Amino acid sequence: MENKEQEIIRKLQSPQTMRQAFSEVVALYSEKLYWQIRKMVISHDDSNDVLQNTFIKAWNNIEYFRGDAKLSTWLFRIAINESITFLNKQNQHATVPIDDEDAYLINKLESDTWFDGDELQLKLQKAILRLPEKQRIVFNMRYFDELKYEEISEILGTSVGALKASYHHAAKKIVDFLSIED
Amino acid sequence: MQELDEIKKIYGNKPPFKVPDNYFEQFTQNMMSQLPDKEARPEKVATLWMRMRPLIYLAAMFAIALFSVNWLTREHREGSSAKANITLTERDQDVQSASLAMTVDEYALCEYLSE
Repeated sequence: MENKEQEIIRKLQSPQTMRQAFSEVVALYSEKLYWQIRKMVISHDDSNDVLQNTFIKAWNNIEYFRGDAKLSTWLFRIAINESITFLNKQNQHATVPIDDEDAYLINKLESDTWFDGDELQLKLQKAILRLPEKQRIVFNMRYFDELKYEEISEILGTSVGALKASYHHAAKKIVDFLSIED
Repeated sequence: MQELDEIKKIYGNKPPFKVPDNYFEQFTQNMMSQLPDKEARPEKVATLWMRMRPLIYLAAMFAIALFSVNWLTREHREGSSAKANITLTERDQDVQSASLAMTVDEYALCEYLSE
């Protein structure tokens, strides 16, 4: 994977091979990025839009990618920023004022035709959606993707200590919420 | 977090979402068809001015340095000659006073004081 990424980065730096290399980037990372985005914006259609915006932004700024960070880290960072921007825009443009983001996302979750979980999983997702945005991102990355704190730290630009605290708080809230629901 | 491990066992950690059939297979092609072409950046042609610019800047710096040194030393030279003139004039006045004093005798001095 590392070698593959190095090879792609090398090809991205040449105008002749840039487009071909970028199609390899899309093929390689679209699924991982999609699931990261989906866990944040919930609906499939919105996730598709955000994923496309992520790659368009990456394509438009590919000259500025110097290879200081890993390509995957850079893409994850763009995807998370795009997801947050998307959610903020949704809140601003909602016809009915949205008092809290979690209620809006829970509504999306319940009406999404591409939700594929049972009652238990719906309950867990509802609990996750009640978390503050940053805690939700950290919790999803640890719980579902099982990323190391160091990897999350690189993507989010937050210290490992702060991430551990964030995950601990999030996990406690999830446990409390699910205990009450039971 | 023992309780969270319990939750993981009960609820699992697979995201409960699905995607349309062949979504990822088709995504790359769809995505690439949407990306705009990169504008070919014109290669920079080095003009005569661009090539000569460092030399011209260097020459300008030397000229400024030379002018500054020349101006400062000239001022110093002029300052020294003016000081020398002042000293000479003072000395001339002293000589004149001394020679005048030598020509005045005691009688003339008494006469001058009695007037």
